[in-house]
Amino acid sequence: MQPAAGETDAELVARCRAGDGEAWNALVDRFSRFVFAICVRGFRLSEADAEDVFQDVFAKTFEQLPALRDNGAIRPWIAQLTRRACIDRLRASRETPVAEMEDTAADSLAEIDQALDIQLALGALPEACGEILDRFFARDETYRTIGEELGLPPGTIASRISRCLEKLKAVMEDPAAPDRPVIG
Amino acid sequence: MSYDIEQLARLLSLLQPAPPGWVEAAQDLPRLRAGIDRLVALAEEDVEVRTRVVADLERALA
Repeated sequence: MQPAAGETDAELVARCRAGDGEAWNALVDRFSRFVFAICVRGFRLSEADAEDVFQDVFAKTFEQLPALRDNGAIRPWIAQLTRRACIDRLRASRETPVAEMEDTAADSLAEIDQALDIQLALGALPEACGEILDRFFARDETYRTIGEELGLPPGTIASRISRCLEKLKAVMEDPAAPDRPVIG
Repeated sequence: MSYDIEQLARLLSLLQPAPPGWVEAAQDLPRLRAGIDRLVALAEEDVEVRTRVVADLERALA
């Protein structure tokens, strides 16, 4: 599912707080990869621990959303909730020195935050560019699968990816770019 | 901020989709919460009904 085009985090949170069920689905879509990446890439949690943290973060988000002071601050708030939940999980397991893992995770978290900006920008790309890039880089799909799914000749996928990356670069470097929708 | 193509490709690969079941479970939270609220309300109502019935019976026996 994709949120309304150009909808900002603040607008999406406002709809959630107004009880719009579709908005909650869109919020989970918008941040699910972000939370997942913090768990498995940032803190290298096991799949079972990552799943617990993932559900815990969204349960807390749902419960505490009405108390959020600034609707636009949802992203750092979710990041902080996830970080704390990961650290608690590591402390409980006592298998990894937590301080050491926090240091390692700090660099990853900055990159994951940047990666979310890139993912948001995919929605601003023309034609099927966002979907092609997402399928190839994030979903690890082959040229053949992408071609079959999108009805494109597999022989053209590599050149399309290259062109789409150039378009993405242009969008990311455009200082006037507005808030962008996200690929779900 | 300027980006190079390799950097963009690497950042794109960082945000892989979460398992679909996890996402669906998180999206289902409002429905689950509403279900729990309904059960709690029914349980509370049940206690009130029981209390009332017991009081009526006790009055009838008094």
